[in-house]
Amino acid sequence: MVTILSKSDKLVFYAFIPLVVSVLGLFIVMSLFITYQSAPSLIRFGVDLLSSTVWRPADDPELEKYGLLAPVVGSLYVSVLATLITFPLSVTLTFTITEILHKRLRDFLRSIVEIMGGLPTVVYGLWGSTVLAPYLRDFIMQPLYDHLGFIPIFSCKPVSGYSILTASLVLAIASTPYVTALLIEGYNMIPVKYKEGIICLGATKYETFKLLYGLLKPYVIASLLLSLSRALGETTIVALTVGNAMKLTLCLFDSTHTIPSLIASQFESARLYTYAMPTLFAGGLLLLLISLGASYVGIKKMYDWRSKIHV
Amino acid sequence: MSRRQALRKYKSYLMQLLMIFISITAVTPLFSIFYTAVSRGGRTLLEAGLSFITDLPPTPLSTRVGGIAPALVGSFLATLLAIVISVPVAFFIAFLVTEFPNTIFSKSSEVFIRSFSGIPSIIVSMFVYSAVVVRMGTQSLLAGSIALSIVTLPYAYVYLTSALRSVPETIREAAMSLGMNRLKALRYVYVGVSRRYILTGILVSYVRAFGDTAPLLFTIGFLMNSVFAGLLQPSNALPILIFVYALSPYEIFHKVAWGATLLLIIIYLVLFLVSRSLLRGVKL
Repeated sequence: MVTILSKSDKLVFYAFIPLVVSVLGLFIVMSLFITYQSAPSLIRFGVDLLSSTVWRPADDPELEKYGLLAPVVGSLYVSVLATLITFPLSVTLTFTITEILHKRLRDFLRSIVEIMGGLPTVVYGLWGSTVLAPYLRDFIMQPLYDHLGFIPIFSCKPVSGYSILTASLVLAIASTPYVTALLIEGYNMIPVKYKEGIICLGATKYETFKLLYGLLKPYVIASLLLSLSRALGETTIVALTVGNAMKLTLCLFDSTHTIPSLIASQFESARLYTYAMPTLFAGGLLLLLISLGASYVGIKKMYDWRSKIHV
Repeated sequence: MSRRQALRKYKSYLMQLLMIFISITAVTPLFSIFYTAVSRGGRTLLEAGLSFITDLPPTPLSTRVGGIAPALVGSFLATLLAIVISVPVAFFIAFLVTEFPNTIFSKSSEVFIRSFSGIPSIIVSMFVYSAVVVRMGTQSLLAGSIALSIVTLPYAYVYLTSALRSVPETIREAAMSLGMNRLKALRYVYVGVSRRYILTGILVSYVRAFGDTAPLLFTIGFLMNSVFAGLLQPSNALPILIFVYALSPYEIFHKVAWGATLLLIIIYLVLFLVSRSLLRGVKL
């Protein structure tokens, strides 16, 4: 498509360029700023930041020592697990809404998913910490620990219910509507002729689902990457449910920290120490890189798929 | 019907049932959330009555629940200000991207601004803390709004782009054939045609910002002793109040947190329904 621009249109276009440049500039300034703020910690601790789990603030800057290994592992663990739980939930929701249900029920379910998608995260967090955490501890974690305690991921005694499992589950519940909305959008982009073709061959509904899912697959992966990027940065839900303990652990029932929950809980006191604040900024920088990376790849994949499916 | 066909049919039914079952499981948390909020928050609201929205918050040793007026006022104001900052910016970028789609600027801003939503909001909070709060010497309503506006920018952009894209091609051509340039067409034609979409977009961005916690964590402050202290003074926000009180060990704070949660859910649902009914009238 060739866009023909008149002289006045060109003028309009050039008039808006400063606006776009300043918004892009804001993004660059923000990244540079975070890097600048974290520099003292990066210079002083270097690789140690990623290999130790010590969190030792001290009045004497010489004695201070910080490591981010636990929250980095915690962040990845919690958000990958949450995304894995989100995956089957959102794929089935997508097909239930678009194919299986009749109009009334479909609209109803769709509205519910929409309401869930916009519900403030702090509500999920509060619900997770007061309702889900004790329930999971008594009915899921304790029995699993009693009977399957020899498996490493079940091997720690659930104490408070605030754990990696709880955080991932609440996070998964909160991000399912988001992924579902993306998937429905993608599903509706598949040209009708593919579906017609499949049905003409006499496929049952389930077989139609399987074939269409095959078409949708790259889009599903892209959506999950976007969801992962959001889960990595999610603060409120995780800070309320993960237990906030500086602990490197792979056990599902243990509490840990993620980078955002560490920042949320330590930021106030970090002002008092020389290197604590830069270390938190270093954590933020790392988080920014990982989650921007995931979101960039996700969006790129999504665009590629769109241009391929529209033949 | 051959046996194989019957088998395929049964399998299909079975899988559909399974999918419906999983879907129901996926949305049950919402009902549990509503139930808990109404049963726990309702008790708080009944106990405090109307004063819950006009009073100051309790201290840990209070016997009365008090109210959440500072948080309510702060939330409404901070969100409003954030929208006033971010919506115009998002709108004009959306205009640029939809009207001049084939330029390098449009393409890169599309990808860039969509990636913006990949920036964790807590990092925006840290950025605004060190760029604004430290310089001003105090946390403030304004700093909170700035943080919120950065976070809402990509959302507003997405909604407003789809609003502008909803203008039918025929109307576009008609506007062009009258000899309008694109800015005039936007002003006299597109905005009128897609006004409900645009309004919905603004409202949805408002709702998003209203419930957001992380951007406000280090920026807006935690005002307790007065309802409103000024634009450049610390304020409070509903989600922040819930977050901080939920993490605190005091029973009375948990009570207030649930009351505030019920109120937050009610406000959210009302705004949601309004934006829904706005969209219902749209048929192009």
